[in-house]
Amino acid sequence: MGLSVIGFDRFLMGFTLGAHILIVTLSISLSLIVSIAEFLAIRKKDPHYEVLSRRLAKALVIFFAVGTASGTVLAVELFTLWPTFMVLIAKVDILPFYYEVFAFFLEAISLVLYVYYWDYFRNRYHHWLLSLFVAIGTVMSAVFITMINAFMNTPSGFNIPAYLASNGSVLIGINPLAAVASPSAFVEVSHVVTATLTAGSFALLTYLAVNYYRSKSAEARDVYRKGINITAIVAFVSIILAGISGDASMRMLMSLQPLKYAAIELNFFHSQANAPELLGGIMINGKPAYYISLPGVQSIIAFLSFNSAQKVPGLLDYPSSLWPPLFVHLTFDTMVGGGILLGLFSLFLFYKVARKRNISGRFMYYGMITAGILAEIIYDAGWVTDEVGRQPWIIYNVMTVNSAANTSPSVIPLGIGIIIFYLIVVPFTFYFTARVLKNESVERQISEVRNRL
Amino acid sequence: MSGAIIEIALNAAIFSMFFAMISSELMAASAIVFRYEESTSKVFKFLVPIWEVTGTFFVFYAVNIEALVPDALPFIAFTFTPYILVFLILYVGRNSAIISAEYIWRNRIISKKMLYRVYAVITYILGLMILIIFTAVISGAGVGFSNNSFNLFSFISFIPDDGFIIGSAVILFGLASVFYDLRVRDYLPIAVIIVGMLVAGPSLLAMHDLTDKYLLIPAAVLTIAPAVLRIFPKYRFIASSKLLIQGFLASSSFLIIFSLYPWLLGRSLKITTLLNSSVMQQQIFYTTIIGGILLLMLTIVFFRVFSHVSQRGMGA
Repeated sequence: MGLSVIGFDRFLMGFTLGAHILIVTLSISLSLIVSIAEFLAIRKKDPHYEVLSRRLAKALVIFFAVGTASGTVLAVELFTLWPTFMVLIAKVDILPFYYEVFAFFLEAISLVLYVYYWDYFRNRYHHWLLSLFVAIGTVMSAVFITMINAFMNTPSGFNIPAYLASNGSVLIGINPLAAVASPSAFVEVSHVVTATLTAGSFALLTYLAVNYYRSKSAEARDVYRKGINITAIVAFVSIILAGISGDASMRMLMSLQPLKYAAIELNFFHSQANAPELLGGIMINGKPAYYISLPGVQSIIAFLSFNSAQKVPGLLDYPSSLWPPLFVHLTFDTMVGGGILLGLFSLFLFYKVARKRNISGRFMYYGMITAGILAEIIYDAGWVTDEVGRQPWIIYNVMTVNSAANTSPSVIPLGIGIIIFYLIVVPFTFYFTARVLKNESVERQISEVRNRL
Repeated sequence: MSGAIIEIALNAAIFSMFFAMISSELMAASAIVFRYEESTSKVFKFLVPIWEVTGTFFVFYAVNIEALVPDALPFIAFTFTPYILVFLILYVGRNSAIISAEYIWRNRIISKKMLYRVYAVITYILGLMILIIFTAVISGAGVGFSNNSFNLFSFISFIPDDGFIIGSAVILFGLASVFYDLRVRDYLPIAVIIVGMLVAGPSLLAMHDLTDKYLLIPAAVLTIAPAVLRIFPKYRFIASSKLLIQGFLASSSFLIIFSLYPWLLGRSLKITTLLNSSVMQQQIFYTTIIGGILLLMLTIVFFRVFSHVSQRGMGA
């Protein structure tokens, strides 16, 4: 019974995270794009940008409402499903959670003032400043939460040997600030923030593209075209940064989490130089199959050298009982391969936008829609790689998932309730937001804004 | 030990602020259920901007508890799992209901009024659940700390628990008309609040052998003060200040919590035995001070804008 409850705990946590991710990626990119749009509206006295920021702010507040609720569900699930884990976190690395609360306050109160008192501010830059605070609060929330994840991957800030030797009963040498700045924190935060912005921007691009092509009036098309311009630039910059930080993440894994690195590269050998890069591949009868091998390429990418004598980690250096599920290689390939495709499309779109070229046509239309869907798949694949790649540990080399879990069977019926509830709430949120925006005529909003200007 | 008092006082202060926020929502829920039409002009302009912030205070309190008493987390997790998970479902439902109520378009099936009422009912249930857990932690009735269990039947069977919950609900019901300036006779809120106090006060004394029962006197004065001040035209402006009433409520709640210090669960558990390490407490303290200043500034800006908008007659 114990193991099945643990399995359920894992599923429930993964499911809630997956649902939460869908909402927060959009919240983060929306907060930034709303701020840019309003800034341009004020600078250029452009009613199209003004309408765009007002419409997207409305979407932001809806996503924020549901996102904060699902974020709270996650926060409470953490100590309900993984009490032993949270005890250690609370004693060593609770500060990022604590910092996040204040980022959350900054975001919540600024957003309330920003959306509900839009026309109160005589100086428009004061109002715009609020949007900046919303964006800062949103991004900082992501930063602090990722710091916790970085601690899970590379724990620090306490005497780990003493903790392990005492079977978890002796916790000494606690340094909360060292735990906050765990070895992987900077690189992981960089990658997560840029990847989140990428996924959210492409998802938003899908919405803008659909409305751009469906709009019947030139005015409405102008609003959405300007939205596409801003979002395409944000997406392009963020995907480049995500690529650079992703590369840094892999290098960091090699030194700090070599087994995870070996698993996601499917390195079915002892550590070796001149290692091949495997594209695809699954384990059949204990060996990799159905893959394309590119000889030496992994070492070239890893060490940026054609004849490096340095070795990449291999799975066979570790007992198989400690290996994570090896399907993480496929999720990793999905992330990298999809990311490259997305990057190429983003470059093309950026070129079109920068040169003020026509973006009408089926290729661009379906391209933007596909990119939005692909971005979410890639983003989720990235998180699965990170989380499943750390298994069986919840805190790498310190605490296993099994030892951290709540094994009370009472979790199951109510957990199922939460899952069903999410299956209703998340699609409803997207439908509701789209419907609210659809009900409000762009043309009427433009004429209202013109009257105010 | 003084560091411990400061940490616990901070935790009590955060709970008190959260309590003041959720109370303003519970009062709004009463107004929505019983006087919907009046609510549209008097309640929504305050409720619509602040309900998001209440949720943030809840997270603040939850994280502070994690930081304050980490060794109590397995107890909370195992003991209250079903309540916590139901609470979470309702919490998402509350947010979904009110955000939908704000933006719902005209249609034949779902109306704004219906969604606000759904929100109000969910808020009642959430408030009740918070009060049940809070009361259980004070009295200890039905709670097995050593075996991580909570028996709802034993909890309900202990009459003072019921009295405290009912009395608190009655007090908030009475305060609702003051807080939202609803059209009721001036003496009515005072009478209702006194009835609530006569039920909740003795219940609290029976639930727990308080360390300092005299703290209940200023707590009672602060609770009833807005309703009394409302009678006098000269002081009515004080009773109409939402920030001030919330401050009174938070202070009252803080005094009640501190009258228990350092005991919980009917004097069977000393909270100081569960506290986090001093090095973490120190960091939490600094963070709370810095974050608290940020929060205070944001709150001042919010209420400044809110009062200006109210004076100008602009809707939120």
